[in-house]
Amino acid sequence: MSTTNKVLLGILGVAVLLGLWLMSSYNGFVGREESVKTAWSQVETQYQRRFDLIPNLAESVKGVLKQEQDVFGTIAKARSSYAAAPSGSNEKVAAANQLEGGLSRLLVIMENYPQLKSSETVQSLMTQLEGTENRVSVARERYNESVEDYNVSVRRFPGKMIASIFGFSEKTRFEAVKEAANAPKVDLSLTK
Amino acid sequence: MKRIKALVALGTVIIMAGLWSVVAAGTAMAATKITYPEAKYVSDYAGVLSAEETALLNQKVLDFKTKTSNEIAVLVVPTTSPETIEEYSIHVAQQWGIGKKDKDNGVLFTVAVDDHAMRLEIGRGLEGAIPDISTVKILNTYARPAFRENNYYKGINDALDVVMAAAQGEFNVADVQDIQSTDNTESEGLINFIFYVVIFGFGFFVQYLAKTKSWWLGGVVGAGGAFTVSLLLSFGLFVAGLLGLICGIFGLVLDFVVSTKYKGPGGKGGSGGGFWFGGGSSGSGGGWSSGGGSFGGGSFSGGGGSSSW
Repeated sequence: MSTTNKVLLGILGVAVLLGLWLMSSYNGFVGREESVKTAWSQVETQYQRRFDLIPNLAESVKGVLKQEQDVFGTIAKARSSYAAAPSGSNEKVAAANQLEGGLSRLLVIMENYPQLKSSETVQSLMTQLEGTENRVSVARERYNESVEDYNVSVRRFPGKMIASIFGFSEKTRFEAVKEAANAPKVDLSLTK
Repeated sequence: MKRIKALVALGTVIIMAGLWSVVAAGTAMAATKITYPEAKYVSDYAGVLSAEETALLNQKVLDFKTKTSNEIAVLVVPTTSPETIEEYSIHVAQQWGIGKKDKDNGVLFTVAVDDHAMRLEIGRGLEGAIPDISTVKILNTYARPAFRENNYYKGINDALDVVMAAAQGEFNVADVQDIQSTDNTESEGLINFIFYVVIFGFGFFVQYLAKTKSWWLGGVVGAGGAFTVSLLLSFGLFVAGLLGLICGIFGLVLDFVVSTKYKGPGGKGGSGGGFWFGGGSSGSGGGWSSGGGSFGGGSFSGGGGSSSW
């Protein structure tokens, strides 16, 4: 085989290898991005669960908390904003955060009414709420992990170059909203 | 001329190895993670259960698993610090993979003795049978009074009885039959396919190498080929770089050997290709590790309840 042909074959070989590498990198990005989307939908699922619980809680305490109507107003508004916002949008996240703020205020208010502590309805609702909050934080943690995995692959060298060609950019993690960080833990257990 | 070519080839391989090592160093810098105890059905790291009590509980949960396929684990620790019991519990449960993979029917009972905290972590598949409210009721009614008297065995035992009764309704003997797990068959098939294609292809390639007088091509293609295949098999850059370096060197040596001993078609070609590829395949074999522990790989989404005493 002539020298020219050898060189050409070598170049062809390298080109094929490059192509394979490009393909595997791109597929990697796609896989990870889909994981991030799935993880996000899990977060929204838990948000929905929380939103579905709230009306029951509100109803059971409204009778006692006659004076505190504006916190119920905040919660109701957050609910309708959440339902109206498209999935994965910033509006949806903002509405979820609004609810968290309203909820923590409600919990603080409830602290001042000891008769609520002994109501079994309230108790079981609070347990359900705690369970939902736990699920929300688990879903968020897993979402952040999938974002980390994706971001690392997109930012590392040399995948970085391929990522920018195909338009894969970094995603943002879930950051705790300021009000949410102050959510008080209300303990309504019967005996202590 | 030959010497220069050799140096260039060696240099290329070394530079590639160097590049990938730098990248690999980034990979290796894993975040400091908390380590959890090894996966066992009943573990007592706080010393509140006697050996006999541990054995009894072990027997209980294993029998239950055989009968109903539900997997229940008990973990007693002094404290879950620095995590809260909720964080600790879900991390352990998910890492151990308690419960069958397709059913997610696992339960983890965590008791943090010094923290006076306990939690029942319920797998996805059992959330309907054992909702959050039930778990809190179980903990408060059965575990709490006994724990207050330092009778940990009684508390755990009684609580488990109720958990098992609740879980029983959800999954039963019939489900035990289809437990045959077929996790790795897909990935094994892919590996085998790649092996055969590459072995076949490189048989021809090595023959070609033999015909050339120079021996840099073997090194470069060896390194590049192994690297690419490793990436395709999702091994990560560090392993890929390492395999690339190893196969690059083998490729160089191989090409040198066959080039100088070229005897015509069907000479050293076949055996050389086999030898050279042996290095790559043993690397691939080592890369596949199965999930740890004796649990089925079930999943948790944060359901369950905590309490204290």
